[in-house]
Amino acid sequence: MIPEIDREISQRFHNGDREALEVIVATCQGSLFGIGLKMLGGIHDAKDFVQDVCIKIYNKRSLYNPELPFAPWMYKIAINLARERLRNRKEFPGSDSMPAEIIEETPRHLLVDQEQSQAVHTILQQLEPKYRECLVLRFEMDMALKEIATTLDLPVGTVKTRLRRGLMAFREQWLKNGDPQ
Amino acid sequence: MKCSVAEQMIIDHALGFLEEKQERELKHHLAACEQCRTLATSYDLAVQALQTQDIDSQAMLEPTWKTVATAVATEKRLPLQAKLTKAFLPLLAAAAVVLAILFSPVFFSDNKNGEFTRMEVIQAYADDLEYLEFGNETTATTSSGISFQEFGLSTDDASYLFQQ
Repeated sequence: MIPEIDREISQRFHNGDREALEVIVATCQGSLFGIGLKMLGGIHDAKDFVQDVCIKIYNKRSLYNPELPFAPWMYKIAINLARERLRNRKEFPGSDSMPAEIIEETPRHLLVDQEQSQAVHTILQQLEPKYRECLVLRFEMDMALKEIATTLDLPVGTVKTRLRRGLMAFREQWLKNGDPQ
Repeated sequence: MKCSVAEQMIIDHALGFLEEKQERELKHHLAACEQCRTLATSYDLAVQALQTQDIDSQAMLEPTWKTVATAVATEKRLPLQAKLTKAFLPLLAAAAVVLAILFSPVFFSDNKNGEFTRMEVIQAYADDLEYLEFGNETTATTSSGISFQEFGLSTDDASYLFQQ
């Protein structure tokens, strides 16, 4: 779900109020972590990703128009950062962290769910990033078509096509790997 | 409805794109077609998997705010630095170019190697301009002050070329 940031907070954030940033971090870190985990595939990468997005939005706060909703602006920055990380990873393949760390860091009773979660991450990593980001915004963030199009700066038709192709590819891999449930 | 059409609708249904009327049509087709029903189930499962929230993702996060606050606090001094850098870098670059030109061998030559000094270069330009009567175009076009033989032209050729 897209976290709600009210206008007063986003206005204060725009003016450089650090308390407003703290509210935003507390509200959005979970969803940003979800995006980071699904886009980048590892807990450490996702944690760094959340922190870097929060710092980046604060540094770019003067570019934010407080008349517009806050979330799409923030997620646009987040997705661009994720794309940048993926590009760097392609150039420096050694820096990739494996989703296996999910198991290492998680209590035993959560492992069954984590197993499915890990399978989802693994398959998502195999998809092209352009499909992955659309699927993450649709299903992790529960964004509508128009919101995804705004966040990614793409026409609605392109987003629709990418979602269809992405879901088809994901389902195919999901069936191949065998549904862990 | 054909199964190929239903397949597209199944994907759109899984993505939440279908309108009410289309949903009804699909439901009607699925009731009668087992193959499409199986396909629809597989898409539903895939979507369920994608919608699975990461368990305890909040707990996995270390106190993010602490790190962000530290970074943001150091960032506070950055805008001034950044502004100064932005303002002074182009100026420094321009100054470097000007200095490089002023201190280049042409301007600083002591004429030991047969090169011109700075003043000689400027003087040579001034002489040329004076010789060509630059700035006094009316006389320059009359060719009266120019010896065409210097440029390899005979008097006849010159008078033919510059006849008025």
